[in-house]
Amino acid sequence: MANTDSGKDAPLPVKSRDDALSWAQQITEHLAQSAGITINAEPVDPLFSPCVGKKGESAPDDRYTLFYAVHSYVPNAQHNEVVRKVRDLLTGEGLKISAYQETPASEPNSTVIARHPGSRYVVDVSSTAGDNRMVLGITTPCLKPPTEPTTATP
Amino acid sequence: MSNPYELLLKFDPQGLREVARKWKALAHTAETVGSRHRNQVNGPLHQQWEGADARVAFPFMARTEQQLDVVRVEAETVALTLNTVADRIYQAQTNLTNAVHRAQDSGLTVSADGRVDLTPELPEDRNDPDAQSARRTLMGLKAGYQSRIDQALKDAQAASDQGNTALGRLGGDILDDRRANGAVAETRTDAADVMKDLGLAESYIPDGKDPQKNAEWWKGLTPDQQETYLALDAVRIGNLDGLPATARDEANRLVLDQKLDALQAGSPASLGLDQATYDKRKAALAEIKKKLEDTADAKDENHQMFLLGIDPEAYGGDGRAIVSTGNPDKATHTSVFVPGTNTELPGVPGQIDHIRKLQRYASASTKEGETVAVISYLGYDTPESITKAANPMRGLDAADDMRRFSDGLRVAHGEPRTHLSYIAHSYGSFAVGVADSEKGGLQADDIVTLGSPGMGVLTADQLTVSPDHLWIGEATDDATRLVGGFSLGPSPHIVGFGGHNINIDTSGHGGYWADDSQSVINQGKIIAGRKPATTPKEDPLWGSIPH
Repeated sequence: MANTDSGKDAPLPVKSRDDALSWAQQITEHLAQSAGITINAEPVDPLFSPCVGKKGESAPDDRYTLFYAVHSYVPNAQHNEVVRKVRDLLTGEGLKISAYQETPASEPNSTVIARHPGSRYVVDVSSTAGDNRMVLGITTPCLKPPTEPTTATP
Repeated sequence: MSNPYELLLKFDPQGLREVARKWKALAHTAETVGSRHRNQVNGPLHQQWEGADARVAFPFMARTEQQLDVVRVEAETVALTLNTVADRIYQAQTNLTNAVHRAQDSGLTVSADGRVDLTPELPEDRNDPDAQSARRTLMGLKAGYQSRIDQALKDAQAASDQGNTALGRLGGDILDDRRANGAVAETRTDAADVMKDLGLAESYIPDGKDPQKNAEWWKGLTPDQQETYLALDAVRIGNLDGLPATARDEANRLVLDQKLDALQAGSPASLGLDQATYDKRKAALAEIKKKLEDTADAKDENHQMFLLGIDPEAYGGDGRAIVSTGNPDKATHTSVFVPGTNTELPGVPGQIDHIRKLQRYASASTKEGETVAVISYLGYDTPESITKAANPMRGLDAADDMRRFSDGLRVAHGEPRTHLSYIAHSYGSFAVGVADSEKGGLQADDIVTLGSPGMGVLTADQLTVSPDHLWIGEATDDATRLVGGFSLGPSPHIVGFGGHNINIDTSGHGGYWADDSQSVINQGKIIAGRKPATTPKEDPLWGSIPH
């Protein structure tokens, strides 16, 4: 991300939707590799949402955020180890941990949530619903698409 | 030329019914083609086609869909008229033949034009007291049978006249290309007028109070009958809790098109609205329609939108709209998002963005293969201002409808039960609290409050939901912290109320859905039946304390 100014009036980072997807995918692959887990071949269902202000205000430039999540089969007993590794990795990379939780394998609900101070993306690595599976989710900050005109035709 | 009596005797209802069947087939085709056009042509093209050609083509395509809607409703109306007329004339024919046969069995004659008479008197009967007595009896019977025959002829003529009047309303000029707007809206008045012409205004549709009865009634209809109700009674069908989401969606989309078309064809003066209200309502309906069309090419029901309620005139013009992303009849997890103060029809598109986001966050946390539906519920009269939000009446008035809506979700989903949660923001948390505190509550497995000014109860154990499944989010700078303990009850995030406080890292009263926040991640987990990250309950004097 070129822009590291997190002030509320700072210009938005510019990124196409495809680039944002690649960016999120790279982060999840990096997380999985570092935690020693493998990303499942489940279909990925990314969500692009319009950026909306606290008072419902919006801009006409198609600015968006991306939520991108993948899953990994991880035995419940190893969820704590994964969130620990991810926490240590992200802390080392300068992200701020905003939530961290280890839980017994009998009721797996382990979580680590972190935010990058510059790029402002958020990482969420958590147990899913007790089925030996974890989610690796990335939420981007509000991004602005490039301004070049689209010429696509059906 | 045959007289009415002969015509009625010879009447064959199959002729009319066959024509009605063909009109019904046309209506069905128009519905199917319209649906395919929306989902397989218009929807996908909207996602990727831009430029000058697209700007010309899209209005033309929208008009095509409108015309298919017009054909569908008008053809259903013609079919209903023809079937009703056939049934009524057939009934009159049955009454007629019964009367004729009974008259003949009694020894009376019936002429070729339907006149009942006695057989000529025989000379030997003139002085026979028994014969004279029998003739006097027959004279009495004659009048009765003549009356029945005359009534049958009158009924048949009335049915024919009603049909004639009704069909006369359904002119082909409704599809005139020179007419820009108003045709879709006219289908609604056409259908209503025809029902009135045919005396069908009181056709049996449940009063809507019992979702189970609504569902049983709907299941008891044939597919043909369901199609007719969907086209001709869309407003009432769209509002019936307990009916399948797909049926409500089909009915409500037609209502949306009819209402929007009426606004586009009319003017503020003709609709009795001021300019600002007219503009606001028209823009809101157009935006809701656009949001629904955004998912027209969805690959599965989990990604489709379902319009479960729409009434722009409700609540004094503030409007009512209930929209689901994902099919709540089939979802493993269903959540109802109840907004608060100052949320009216123009806010619904923003609510749709919220629910799509919540659905996706929740889906990330479910078991593999589970599905999530999230519903935006603008189904009560939200307060227009902070001042009005101090008044509990809006929440109290909302309770019955909200409980019935919940019950309808349970009925339409069936077994195995969906995991049902409510996410209530601001005054919506008061409305949800009131609804869940009496008469069996909302049947919710989890309830989340965000920025709650109070839930209308003193403690969580006065709610139907388990206090262990009540989740309270309150931003540190949310202004509702200042209003707890007044007219709407104590603030639920305070120690002693019960339930769990969840981690909220967003600021303000309206920031709970910031994308890059724990607040929204936590809501997603609760919708998925997971435990969110929690934080201690708060003491108003001593700050946060462990609970």
